[in-house]
Amino acid sequence: MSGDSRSQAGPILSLRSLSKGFGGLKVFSDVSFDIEAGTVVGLIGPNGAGKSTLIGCVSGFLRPDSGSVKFEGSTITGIAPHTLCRAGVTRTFQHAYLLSHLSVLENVLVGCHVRARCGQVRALWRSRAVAAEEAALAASAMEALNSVGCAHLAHQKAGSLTAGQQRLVSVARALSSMPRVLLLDEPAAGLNESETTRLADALRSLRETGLTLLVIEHDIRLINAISDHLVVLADGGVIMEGEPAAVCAEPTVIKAYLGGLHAQ
Amino acid sequence: MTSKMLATNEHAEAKAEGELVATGLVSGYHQSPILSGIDLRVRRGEVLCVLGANGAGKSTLARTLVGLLPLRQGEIVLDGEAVGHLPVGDRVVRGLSLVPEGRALFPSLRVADNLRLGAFSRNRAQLAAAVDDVLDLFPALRPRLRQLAGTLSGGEQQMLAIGRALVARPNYLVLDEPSLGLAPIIVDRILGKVRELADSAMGIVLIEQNASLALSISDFAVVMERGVKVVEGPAKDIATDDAVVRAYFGGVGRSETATHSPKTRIRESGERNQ
Amino acid sequence: MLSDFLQFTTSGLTTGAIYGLLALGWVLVMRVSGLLYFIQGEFVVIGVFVIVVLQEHGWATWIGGLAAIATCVVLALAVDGLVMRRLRHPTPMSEVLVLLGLALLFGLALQNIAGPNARLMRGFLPTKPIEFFGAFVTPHQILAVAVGAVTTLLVWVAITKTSFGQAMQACADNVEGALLVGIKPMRLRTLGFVGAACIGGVAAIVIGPLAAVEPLGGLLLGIKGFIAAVVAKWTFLGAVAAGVLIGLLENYGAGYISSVYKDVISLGLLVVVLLVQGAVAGDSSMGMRIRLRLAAR
Repeated sequence: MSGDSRSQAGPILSLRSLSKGFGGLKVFSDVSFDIEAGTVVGLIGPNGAGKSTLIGCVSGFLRPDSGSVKFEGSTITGIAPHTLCRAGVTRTFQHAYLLSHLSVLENVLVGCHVRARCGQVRALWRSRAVAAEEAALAASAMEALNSVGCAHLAHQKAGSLTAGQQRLVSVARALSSMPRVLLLDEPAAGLNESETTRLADALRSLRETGLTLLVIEHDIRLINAISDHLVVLADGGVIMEGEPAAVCAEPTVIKAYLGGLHAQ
Repeated sequence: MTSKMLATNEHAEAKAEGELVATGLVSGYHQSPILSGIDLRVRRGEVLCVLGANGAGKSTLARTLVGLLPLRQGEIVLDGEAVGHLPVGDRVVRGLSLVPEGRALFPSLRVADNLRLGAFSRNRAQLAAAVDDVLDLFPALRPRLRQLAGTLSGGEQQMLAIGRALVARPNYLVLDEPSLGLAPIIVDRILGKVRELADSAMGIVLIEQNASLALSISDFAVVMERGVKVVEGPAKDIATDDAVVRAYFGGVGRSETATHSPKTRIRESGERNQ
Repeated sequence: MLSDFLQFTTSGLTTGAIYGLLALGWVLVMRVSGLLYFIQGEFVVIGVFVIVVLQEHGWATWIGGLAAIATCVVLALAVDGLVMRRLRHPTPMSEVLVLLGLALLFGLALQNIAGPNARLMRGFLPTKPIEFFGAFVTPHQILAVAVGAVTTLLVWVAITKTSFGQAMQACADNVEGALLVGIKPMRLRTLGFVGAACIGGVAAIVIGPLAAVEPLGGLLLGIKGFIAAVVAKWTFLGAVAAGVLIGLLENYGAGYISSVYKDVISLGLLVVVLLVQGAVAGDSSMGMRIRLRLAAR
């Protein structure tokens, strides 16, 4: 990845004419939009519109059929996910994919692994440098757990958590890799109102630290509370984007996605 | 045992009206019990919503009702018959269905086959009509009938899971977080259908995180915490009880609309009797 | 030259048909229970001995055949009900050891009862071989291939067209989902074992007149079926084809190289396939292991 043009003016993430299909099925085509650094963009749309697929294309898990994704000015289309993670682009999944026999804290520590400076050989020796680094990483892992409100679960076996708790832990794990851009796939699914509010607060304060977020969510309250910008993906493309209030009032969006009870 | 007495004394009444009664349920995983003696009652034609934070035991309750988890203590009486020690298949045949939180679909089978299997042990005669009803409810599934269920998006899988349970035309349906991963417009449709099903004499246990929405279509509600009931009563009362709402949902009750964003206020004040 | 090749091919197809039947039994049991069914070969051997003994006492062959199938079914149900379901903490390794042990036990018990000698069943079809292009094929051989084909067809129809087949597929995909639609995995399991036992009995009927069978020969026979199932990654039709392939390879090897290498070829094939595939119980997407974590009902 050529780390040249870090233009302050340009968007941190830029999607151009992205298209993706599976077999004969076209999921979306010609999707283009920008994400400014330090903002929260909400990605909403009907089920099956391709929101998770889009995130997969941006994060390197899927290769788009055509189009490009630029991160800080450099093209990242098709770069492997682990490389992107090291570069600062991390995503979560609808399924938490935790290691159920490890504790919650250990699972989050897995996310810190990209930041570990000490190599594997040195780790075998367990030198003081390694111990110090492990302690530091453990501390930041606890911080990440704290920020999503799961610090009290740190030493429980990950397999014993409820689905909603597991998702929160997977968000903490993603956070512990200190990303610059975080792509969240339905983080609030399975959370009740108070837990959702806590998550919203956590995401808002993360934005204060300069993190850029792209969030897929169906919880309209959460999306409106945290988003600076909304993008609506439906019928194979972006049908609207803009300020949350405006987007939610748009008749086409209401008809395709929000339904009557959510109309202004 | 008291539960047996309950069954026989109220047998005639229960059978005539049709209700699902659970008493003193104790169950869990490995050594630790998650449910510590919980009671529940839902009549046909009623929607009972079960609320509570993550980890309160709502899913454990759902799985115990249907038989995926063995009952350590207590009893479950379905239309006057004790079913607490029957295997899942026997409860399904008697008209109890669950849509689990994990969906439990058959990913290598087609959508159409997943739906058809819903009637494996019940309602085979009306299979075609029931499938049609499901496709009317979830039109997004219609073009995907020949697709493998594993290739559907999360929300589509959720629709399929609910559809599969509906194909059996159960008498009692337990829904564990049906709105998970679904677009708001679909959630509205499902909750509307839930009310419709209840009005046509189905007994429904609705487990939901979205308390305000669930309460708006329910008749009764129960709030769980650490495996026991802490609050119960008519849904309307609970929805407007600020103390309860603040304590257990962290949100805001209907009376305090000032702190709400406009959308939520409209959503909550929209009467459910559409 | 040609007549040799044709002769080896006919023998190969005949042997292959038997291996194919055995492989069918292995795949069926794997699909319904996740077990490696080492006793599949025992059904064939025990079946042959039952028929032979009855023949020696003057009973008609067809009665012997039915008795053989019945014996195998009883044996299969006993193994499942009395042993496999009663294992306290079953792990894949312990299940393999138990079934292997049972296979050896049956072989030794049979040897004790009926003596160590191989037995040949009395044929029930005309024994005059038919000649074609310099090669000979007997009616019993044709029967073996025909029975193999018909059984494969019946199993295929049962798997793809009946509710049993759909239920089996559902169980393999997601046991919880299967339970929630009212499928009873334990019942499927029993049906699967009965099916495998019947296939074993049928294989006994057709192999009996063709080759003398030893009491201890069941394990090796069964393993040939296992190899075919592994090569085919536990698909039904693939396993039958693999069984036929192994039969052909064995006979070509025995014919063109040396009969000593007959078993080496198939066992060697297993080693090669395992090295290449890296797994015994199929790839993860088939979800082969059905593990029921519920209290036994």
